[in-house]
Amino acid sequence: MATMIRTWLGLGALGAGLVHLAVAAGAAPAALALLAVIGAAEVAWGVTALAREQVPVPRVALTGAAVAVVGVAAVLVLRAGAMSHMGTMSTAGAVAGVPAVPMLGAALLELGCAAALAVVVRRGRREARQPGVWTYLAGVAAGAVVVAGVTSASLGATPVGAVAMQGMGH
Amino acid sequence: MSTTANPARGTRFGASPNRILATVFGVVYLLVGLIGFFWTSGVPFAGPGNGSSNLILGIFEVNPLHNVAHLLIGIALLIAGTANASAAKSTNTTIGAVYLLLGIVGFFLAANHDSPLNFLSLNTPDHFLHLASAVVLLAVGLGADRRVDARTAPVTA
Repeated sequence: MATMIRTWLGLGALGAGLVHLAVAAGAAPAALALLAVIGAAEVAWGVTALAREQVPVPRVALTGAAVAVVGVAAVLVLRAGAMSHMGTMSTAGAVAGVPAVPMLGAALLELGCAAALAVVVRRGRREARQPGVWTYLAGVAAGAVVVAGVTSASLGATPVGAVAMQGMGH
Repeated sequence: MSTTANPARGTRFGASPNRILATVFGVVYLLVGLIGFFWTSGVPFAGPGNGSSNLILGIFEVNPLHNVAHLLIGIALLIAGTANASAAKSTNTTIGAVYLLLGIVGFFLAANHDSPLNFLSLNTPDHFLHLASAVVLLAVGLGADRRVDARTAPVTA
């Protein structure tokens, strides 16, 4: 199970990182820098998690994921007030130049990663039974479908992605 | 996941996630590349189609160049999957990285469906499929058969 959790963590971080980088591409300079750093860190951590035998810096990653989820929640709560004045969530999100839906998608992936990291931290370095080849492949495929689904939907809701979707028309 | 590597022939097919994945994806992409030509009659070789008649299964948009790319990727994966675990691992990782790039960059570059930049005639379901393929190939390529190069050591996912 440890291998499976590490793989799902890597996929989740990769997905969240890609969304953050895409959001950064259309954000104001201050948000751009922050989101680009977060996105790049997530992609790097995700690739490392996939490539190594142990989850890299699990406690730091757990703290980072928890802070990111709380941060997105705080932003959404602040925007709830703005929504009552401005009508829609997308309009309110546009006020700060950071769209809400992709951030929610990334937060969903981070929440999943935080939960899995909590399990990793709780277990410590205890040896766990490795999955069989087919179980491993099925687990990777299931994780990939979930991550690709959330990531694609989130990318489509970024300002640049919305233009792409509009342009394609289908 | 621990198996024993064969120093002479590499990891046994059934014990290597990379070989299984490369072979399965290779067959699928090869078939998709072949059947794709049934939907590309009258579609420009390297340009966007009309988005309605050139849809495989009514979902995934293709053009002849897109089909050729599927064929080449399918052949590469199939050869690597049937060769050995090391080749399969390298091919899965490389094609996974390329698909990730295509899934992301293609998504943004092809902002206008009818633009010449959309030379693979990509649509939204294509992006989803490319992204899903990318993460599966990358995850298995980076994570499984890690000690295959040592040849004498156990293979660990």
